[in-house]
Amino acid sequence: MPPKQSIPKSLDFEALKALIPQRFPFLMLDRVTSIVPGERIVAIKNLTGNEWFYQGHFPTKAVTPGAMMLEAIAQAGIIFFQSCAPQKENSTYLLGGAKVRFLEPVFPGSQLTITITPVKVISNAGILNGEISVDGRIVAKGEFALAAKPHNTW
Amino acid sequence: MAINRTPDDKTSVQQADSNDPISNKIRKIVAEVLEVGSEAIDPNAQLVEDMGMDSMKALEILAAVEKAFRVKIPEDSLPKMTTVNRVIQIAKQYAS
Repeated sequence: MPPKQSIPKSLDFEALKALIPQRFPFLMLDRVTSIVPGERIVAIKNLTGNEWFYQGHFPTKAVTPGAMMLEAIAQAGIIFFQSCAPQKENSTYLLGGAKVRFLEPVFPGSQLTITITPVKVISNAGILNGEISVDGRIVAKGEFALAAKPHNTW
Repeated sequence: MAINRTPDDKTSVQQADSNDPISNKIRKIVAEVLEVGSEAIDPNAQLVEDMGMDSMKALEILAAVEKAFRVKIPEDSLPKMTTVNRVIQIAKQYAS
């Protein structure tokens, strides 16, 4: 599968929004620092104490929900997927299976470094490895399946 | 990535051999992905109609087979993965 030649080597916030459909309050990436089409991408998300999910998770001690870290992995997965199998603009992305382990709690003020590598990618779906590190320590890692579905097919 | 049933699914492939390590490994992979016991796997059962496989699970099976046998199987094999016996046949084709 030929890589998308027009994908740059990194993406700022506005550029990454052109590749993924999520928006506030569900956009969990700030920047993509490295793209090697078909091989690896690295993205970052800076967590501030003002994130909406800290209001309830938890009211007396803010801890980043694992579900939101999985969402960050999935969104980086979409960027990866776009870098090697460009999809139609009206595609929605759905998670299939996800086997993720959360190794350490993550608190406000952390910078998530999200790395995605492929297990198997086909034209409209992929199985990817995702890993999140904070200050060089791996805090979550796992494997997930992602499929692109054009809006008019479901 | 539709999984299509073909008329010769039950006649054109070899039966799964319980003494064959490739067959046994693939039965385990299919059972794990489809979340059923490996003893419940009928090698000729239709993976979509009878066992609830969808396109994402088919891809998971394909990736697991590739990893287990260190082979590369092309995307166009996915629609041919209609039964466990078919998966075994495809794996052996690319492992040889």
